[in-house]
This record gives sequence, structure tokens and C-alpha cells, in this order.
Amino acid sequence: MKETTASFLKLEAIFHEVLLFEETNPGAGVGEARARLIDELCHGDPALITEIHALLRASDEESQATASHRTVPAPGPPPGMEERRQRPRGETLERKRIGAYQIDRLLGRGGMGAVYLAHRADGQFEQQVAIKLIDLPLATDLFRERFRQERQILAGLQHPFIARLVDGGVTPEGDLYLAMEYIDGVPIHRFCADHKLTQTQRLALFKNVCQAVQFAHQNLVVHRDLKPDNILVASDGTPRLLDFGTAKILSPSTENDGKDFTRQGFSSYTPQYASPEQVLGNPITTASDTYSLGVLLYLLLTETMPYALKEMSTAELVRVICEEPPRKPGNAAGSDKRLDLDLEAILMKALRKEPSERYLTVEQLTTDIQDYLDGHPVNARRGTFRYRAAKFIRRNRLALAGAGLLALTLSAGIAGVLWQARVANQQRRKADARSADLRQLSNSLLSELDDAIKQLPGSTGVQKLLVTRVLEHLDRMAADAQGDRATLLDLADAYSRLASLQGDPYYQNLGDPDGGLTSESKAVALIQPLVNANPNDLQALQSLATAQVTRSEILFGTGKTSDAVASMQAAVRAYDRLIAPSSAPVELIGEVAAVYGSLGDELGQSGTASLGDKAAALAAYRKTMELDHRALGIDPNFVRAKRGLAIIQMKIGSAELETDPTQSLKDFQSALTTLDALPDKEKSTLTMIRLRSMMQRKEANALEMTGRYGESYGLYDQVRRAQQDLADQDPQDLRALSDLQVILNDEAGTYDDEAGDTLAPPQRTEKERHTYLIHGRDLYAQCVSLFDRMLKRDPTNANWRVQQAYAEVKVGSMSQQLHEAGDGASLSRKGMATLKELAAKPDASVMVLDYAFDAALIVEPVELRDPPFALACAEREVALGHRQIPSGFLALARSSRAAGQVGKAHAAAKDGLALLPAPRPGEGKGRIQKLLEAELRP
Amino acid sequence: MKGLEPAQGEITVLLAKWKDGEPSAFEELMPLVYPHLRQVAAAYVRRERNPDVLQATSLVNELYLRLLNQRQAVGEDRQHFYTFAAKVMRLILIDHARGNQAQIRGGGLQRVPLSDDLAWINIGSPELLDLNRALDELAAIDPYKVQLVELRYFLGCTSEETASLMHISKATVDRELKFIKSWLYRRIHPDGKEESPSA
Repeated sequence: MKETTASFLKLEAIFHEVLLFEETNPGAGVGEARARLIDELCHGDPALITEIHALLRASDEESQATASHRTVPAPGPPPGMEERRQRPRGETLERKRIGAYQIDRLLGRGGMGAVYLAHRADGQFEQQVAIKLIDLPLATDLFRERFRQERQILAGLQHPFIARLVDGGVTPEGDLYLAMEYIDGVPIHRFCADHKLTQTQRLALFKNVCQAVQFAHQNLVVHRDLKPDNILVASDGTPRLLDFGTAKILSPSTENDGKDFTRQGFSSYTPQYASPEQVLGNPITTASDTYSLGVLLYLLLTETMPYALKEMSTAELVRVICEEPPRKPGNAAGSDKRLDLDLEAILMKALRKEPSERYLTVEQLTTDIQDYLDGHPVNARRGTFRYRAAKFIRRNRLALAGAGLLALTLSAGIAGVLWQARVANQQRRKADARSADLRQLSNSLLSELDDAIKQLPGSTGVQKLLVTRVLEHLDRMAADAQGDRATLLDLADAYSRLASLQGDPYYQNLGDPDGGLTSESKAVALIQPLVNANPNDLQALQSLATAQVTRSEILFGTGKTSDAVASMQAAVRAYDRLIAPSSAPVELIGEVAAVYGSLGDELGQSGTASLGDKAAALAAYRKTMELDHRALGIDPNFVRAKRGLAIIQMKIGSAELETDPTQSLKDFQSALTTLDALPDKEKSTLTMIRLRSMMQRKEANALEMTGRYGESYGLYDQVRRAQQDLADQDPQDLRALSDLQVILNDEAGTYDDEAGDTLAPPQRTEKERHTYLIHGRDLYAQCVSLFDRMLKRDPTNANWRVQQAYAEVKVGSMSQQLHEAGDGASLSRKGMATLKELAAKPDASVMVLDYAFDAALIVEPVELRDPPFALACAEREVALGHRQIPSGFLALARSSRAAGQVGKAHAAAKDGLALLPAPRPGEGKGRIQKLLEAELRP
Repeated sequence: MKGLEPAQGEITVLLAKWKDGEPSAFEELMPLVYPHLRQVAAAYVRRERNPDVLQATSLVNELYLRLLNQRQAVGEDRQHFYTFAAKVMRLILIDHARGNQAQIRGGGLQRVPLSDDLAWINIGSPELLDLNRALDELAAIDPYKVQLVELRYFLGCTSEETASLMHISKATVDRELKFIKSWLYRRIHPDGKEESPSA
């Protein structure tokens, strides 16, 4: 008899089943039960039954033969065996109770144990459950681990189309069990056949299955064994997904940790539904499930399998699954109806050999099916063409080149012209199709991420996976682009988007600025040659500008301000050319407006590592307002410009905060009004929630600056709560952490002011001062630990290091003022050392210098104070700010006084006060004004 | 010119090529490995199998390190080398058994089991040639299982060593082998009786 792989696998599976049965049911009377089990497992196939019995006999004889020839005594039974064997024998499982359940009958035996039908025995309520039990005395830790994992997976998956986990635990004998919702249904393909479902009904049913799988994927679970036997349909027509016994939880670290069950031969999955990567033992992703769904859909639509796998060896099986195209569904054996071309395309896309060529998500597969049902064009067909064209070119590259030569020698011959046309056409179509594919990729990238962000708290892990996948895809395509302009542009844009995801601090990002800069330089390397070749290629120019903006934003976020400004100015120059014509599209104008806003930030935004050039910043901001108004002139409902106006009002307010806090407060309040007038849909995005929070924080800053401390506390508190919520939702989200840090820092500063002398509220009691100090110290301490978390993610961020060092000095000093036990002094010393190190750099920003000077004047213990150092910092700060920043003069005045140069202090204070507008009637003095005036004292 | 140690990396390259199915790599590897493995095999045959004195796997490991010029033997390379060595070992033992049949058919050789876990097959015996044929059949159905047999029974790896080389659990190794042994036994004794152990 010639054995085949399929029958060999079957034989092996049944063999193990029977041995398991024997091990679990030791003792007399097993023989008959065993024979029954074998009959059942072999579905009455007489040849198979004979073979199994012969094999089991051979097994016994082999053991005896080995034992009788063995020269070394056989090892004793493993510890624990004896004890298990001594279970009361008369009691069969069939009558047993497991937890609150009474076993009714055996439903079947599976790879890891048995499944029983049971009902609740405590009479609480009628409920039938399927109990899955590991009752193998020899169950390995691996089995147990897998079982635990299944339980963990199921507990997290509550979906109407996934069989529910009802209960689970350990029996008194120490066996693990799961109680599952019992599905009285039939496998999906049988259901379709029995009920003679129409094609439309089948597609609808399949879509429901996709929903369940998509849901699992969103929870980072890959099923890995999708097949009809695991998808039962109840009589009411609702499907249920079962058996997550081979499922896997995806983790961002995809390497095998030794507990990976994929490399366990064929026992872990079903070859007919297995993807190429599965049979090859390569890493499994959600795309493997997409493939299995493709096989399932193939079966439901054609009632045949995509491959004839019956009589094959393992090697042959692997070869067919990995290399042969699926049978054309239209020609599938036994099928007289031709399948619609769109459906065929959908099947082929799901069944691609390369995971990256398949639908990126199950949702996309579902969308295509819905589009088909609605009569819309399906995505798969575009992909099919691109795929075929690329394949054709790859296969025929040599032939085509030869043909080109042939065409030349035939000069004007008709054949030559035809050949050339065909080659050119192929190339062009290949490029077109690729662009379509890329756009699809970029779109799906963004929508997928949006979904991930909204639906999965802690989604950063998913994003990382996705980014890696997309980057591989892009690198492959870039290597293949061969100077095709449209493809190069699309690729560059895709790299830019990716860069922004990786590390642009202006957006939700993965905290990987270096990765972002690398992607961005790939983008620039692709476009720059196009712009050089044709300076009037406006599309290329725009791509380049986009890339430069992202590059600049990433650089700014990491504290490399001068490089950032240079990049942003280059972008602005390109954009100015693009919007020069009066016919420039409104979207582009809106975009350029925002870019000017970013330029302004880098030039002179306060509280960041900007260049400190207020005047230049305000000029850029005014340009933004102008452009937003121009855009609204064209389209009064252009939301982006409205939002842009709100943002720029806020930014102008920030720039004026020091010089004119009263005006600035008005700016913030009108920014909030503009924002609140936006449509609800627009306001509910995470970005806008964050923005509103930021505006309120600024409003609180302004209230504080005008001396309205009482009002500012309430507002700070409100904002801090909102930020804390956002940060809690995704602890991986760096941006949420950094927002929270900013608000904590501001709030701490307010308490600090109130605890000080110059800005103390009138009639402040000593007790109040004490309370303010405690609040301030607590908030600064929270900042320090937040920075610890942030710096762990990006240890090179200079902005965070300086702020953390300052907060350390504050915590150290305040706790000494409070006469607290503990080592405040050494914390102060540590912070001071960092600040001095950072300020010593020649390119230290205004922010670094301002923190350093202040710390050097206020630090406790007093011996750490360093007025000459503070003075040097203040002088550099004033120069960097082009002698336009009042707080710079305040720094100069305070350090001069501390260094004993009272005259110089007076002069600096006067210079600073001259920058402030004359007080308007009825308005109090601002914070900076009060502080500067205080420096006029003798 | 003989006597030169192979250049570092050459072995790994050849192993990778062999693993990728390049038959010439096997031929090139053979002369590097064969003489040393013959010594291991000779020790087997002479029944110097006191586990404390001679452990095939540690000898193979030493050989491997020597071939690699003492580079740390880790990961894939090591697995490739072991599966390769096991295959060579099978060739050596089968060659030896063939020679035996020709020279001293029915001679009073001392019975030395191939493995304590497969004790009914003796080194140098006709059953070993039967086993070889059965394994060739098995290779056509599931070459992976043949690798297990070669590592565990021909190279003399323990279940644990086999498990770690194949990246599976020890329990899986034992379970798979239980089935394979039964299947092989049935192939070699289709009528269900063991043939007389000594001729």
C-alpha cells in the first residue's frame, strides 16, 4: 500500500487520540470503548480501522521488544503519575460534575482533551454549555499553557458571533476546564448546502464571520485555524466562531518566545486552510486569517476547494500551497456556474501567496464584499491588474528586453511598433496601478491607525507593527521604482506620512524621531532629483515642501531648533511659489497657513525651545491669519481655515503673553470662541480635544499673568483632569504625557509664584504660604517622574532633560524650605549639575538659559547658588531674544542684582518695562511688570 | 593539499547551502566531517557507550567548534550542523551494516542496540538495513519525522537535545517518536511478529 501524506496524517492523529484515550481511561473494560472510539474516529472506514488496530498492536510489540532488549533499566513513571492513576475507577467522566455543571455526554475528543455537553447542575437556570477539559495525566506544560491562553483570549473576546466563554476553572482533580456557550449548529458550508442559500445570502453570512474575525484582530488575536468545523451556524442563521485553541496574541515583539505553537508540524492547523507562511513556519500575522477566510469563501461560493490537496506528500503539499495559483473558481471541478469576475478578484486577492499582497485587514475584505453586493467596483480588481502586470514584467523582463532590440532592428516594421507600444503600455500601466495601490495603502494606513487610536486604548503596539510592515513595503517598492515620476512622488508622500507617525510631535506619534527622520530623508532623496531636474514641477515641489515641514517638526521636537527653522523656511519658500497664483486651491492655502504657524512657533514660541525671536514669530503668525482669511474668502465654510484661525489666535496670544497679558487673555478667549463655533463632528476628534485643553491652559496662564490667581487655579485643575484622562487612556502615548507634564509644570509655577514674595496675593498668611509650597512641591515632583517615563522613551530629548532638571531643583529646594526630612539637597545638586551642563553648550536655547539662570538664583541650599553663572546665562538670553523679550531683561535684572551690580539691574528692569505697553485704565499690572518693577528697588 | 582547517565561515555557508537543498554542498561538507564522525561511530560499534565517557553529542559539538575555529556554536548553524551530522552518521552506520552482512553473515557479534529507546534494532544488523529502507519510505511522506529519528537514534541525542535542536518541546519529541517507532515497527514486521533476534 502506498501511503500518502493525507492518510498518514490522519493515521497519526487517530493514533494519538487513541493513546490519549487509553491514558485517561486506564483499567479494565477499556477495550470495547477503545474499539468504539476507533470506529467513530475512522468514520467506519474498514481499511483505516484495520490499519489503526495493526499500528496499535505494533506499538505494544515495539514497547515490549525494546524493553526486552534494553540494556539500561527503563525510567520509572514520572512523579505524579501514580497518584493520578489511583483515581476511583468506577466513576466515568460521563457522570461527573465539573464545577457547577453536570456532564451529559461526550461531544468529541480534540487535540488537547475532550469536549462534553453539560448543563448547570445547581438548578439556578437552564443553560447548556460545552465543556472543554484537559484531562490528560500526561498533559504537558505546553498544553496547559495553551489552554490558559485560550481562556485568556476568550475572556477578552465578547462578540455576538464568537462563542462566549461562560466559565472556567480547575476541577478538584486538578484538571483545567473551560465552559463555553454550547452552539447547536452545523459547520458553515453544510449550513449553506442544507439550506440551499443563494450567493447573496452566502456572502451576507460570510460577512458576519468576517466581523467576528476582524473583532478578534482588533483585540490583537489571530485565530490561526479558521475552517468550517470551527464556524458553526445556528438554526437562526447566526454564525459563531469557535476554538481559539491555536489562536495567538500578537505582541509588538514578534520573535518567538519558545511558547509559540506554530512550529509544531501539522497538528496545529489544517493544511487545506493554511496559508503559505503557516506551512513554511514563518511568522503568522492577521494576514494568515485573511487567507483562511479566502479559502472558506472559495468553498462557500464554489463548493470546491482552491487546491486539490488529497493525495500528496508533505513536500508536495508545501509546494502547492506556496507556489501554485489557486484553481480558477470559474473552472472549479463540479461547478457549472461561472463566478462573477469581481468575486473571483476578491478571492484571488485574499489568497495571495505574499501576505502583504492580500487585503491589509479583514475589514477591507468585508468592504469589498459589501461593494460587490452594492454593485460598486471592488478594490481587488485594481490590485489584480497591478499584480498581474508586475508578474508579467518580472517573468518576461528578459524577453521584453530582447523584444525591444528586435523592434529596433525592424526599424519601421509594424511588429516593432507593436512591441514597443506594448512594452511602454505595460510600464505605464504598471506605474498607474502601483500608484493606485499606494494610495490605497496610505489611505488604509491612516484609517487603520485612526480606528486603532479610537477603538483600542494602548494602541501604540498595533501602530508599531503596522509601521514596520508599511516601511518594508515602501522600501521594496522604492527599490523597484526605476525613476517613474508618479510612483516616486507617491512613495515620497507615503514616506512623509510614515515619518509623521513615527515621530512628529505635532501629531499622535510613536516617539521614534530618529526613525521619522530616516523615513523623511528617504522621501527627500526620492523627490529632490525631480525638483532639480525640473524646478517647475509643482507637484514635486509640493511633495518636497511637505517632507521638509515634517522634517522640521520632528527636529524641533527634539530640540534641534536651528536645523528645524532652516528646514521650515525652505518649505515656506516652496509653498509661497505654489500659492502665488490667485487660482491656488483653498486646501493648499489652508495648508500653507498652518505651515507659517509652525514657522512662527519655531521662531519665537515661548515655553518651547524656539529661537526666541518674538517679532519674527508674530510676523509669521500674521501671515497665517492673512492666508486663513484668504481661504475663507474663497470658501466661507472651509473648516480647516476656521480651525486655523482659532489656533493662530491662541499663538498670537501666547506671543503677547509676557508683554501684554491682558490683550493675550482676550486672544485666548476669542480663540476658544472660534473653536467652539466649529461643527460638533470637528470638535470631537482627539486633536481638537487636546487643542481645547491647551487653549484653556493658556487662558489660565494669562489669568495668572494678570494676577487673577484664584480663577487660574480652577481652570488649571479642570485642564489637568482632562489631560490626566487622555494620558491614562494610552500610557504609551508620549504626546499625552508631555501635555500632562506642561500643565503640571504651569500649575506648579503658579503655586510657586504665590509662595514667593513679589507676587504673593495680598494678606497671604504663613499657613497659606506653607500650603502653596506643598502643592508646588508635589506638582513638580510629579513632573520629575513624568519626565523619567518620557526620557525612557527618548533619552536624547534635550528639552525634557532641561525641564526635568529644573523641576528637580524646585522639588529639592522647596522641600528644604518646608524643612522636610529626606535628601532635598542632593536632588537640587543633581538638577543644578544637569542645567549647567546643558547651558554650557554653545547652541543652548532661550528656554535652557532661562531655566538655568533662575535655578542658579533660587536653589537651596544657598551654597549652590551661582550669580555669575546666572548673569552669563541672562546676557546670552537677552542677546538671543534680540533684546525684545521682557523676561530676558527680568533675568538680567535679577542676576545683576544677585551679582551685586544694582545699577545694571535697574537699567535692565527699565529696558524690560519699556517693552511693555502702557497700562490701560481699569487693568491690573501683569506678572512680568510686577516682577520688573520690583527690580527697580534700591 | 590536505591538513588545512577550513576557513572560518566556510562551514556555515556550506551548511546553509545544504539546508537550501544544494546537493553539492553535502558532498563538500562530507570530507570535513566524515573521518571524525567515523570515530564516534566506531565507539558506538565497540559499545563504548558509557554515557559518562562518551557522549556522541558532546563529541559532535567539539567537532563543530573545531571546524568553526572555536567560534561560539549557537542557533541555526548549530541546528543545521547537527541535522547534517545525524544524516552522515546514518550513512556511516548503514555502510557499516552493509559491510557486516557481506563479511560475517550470521557471525556471533555482540548485540549492540542502536538506542536504548529503540533497542530491538542492533548496530550492524540486517534490521538496521530494514530500518534504513523504512526511513526512506517515511522520507517520501514526512521528511521532518526522519530528521527526528536521525537525531535521536543515529546521532544519539537525548529527547531534550533533540527537542532543543528542533525547537519543539520534549513531550512533542517523545509523542512523535512513539508514533514513528510503531509505524516503523509495523513496516519492518508486517506480519506482526518480531523476527528472531539473532540469526
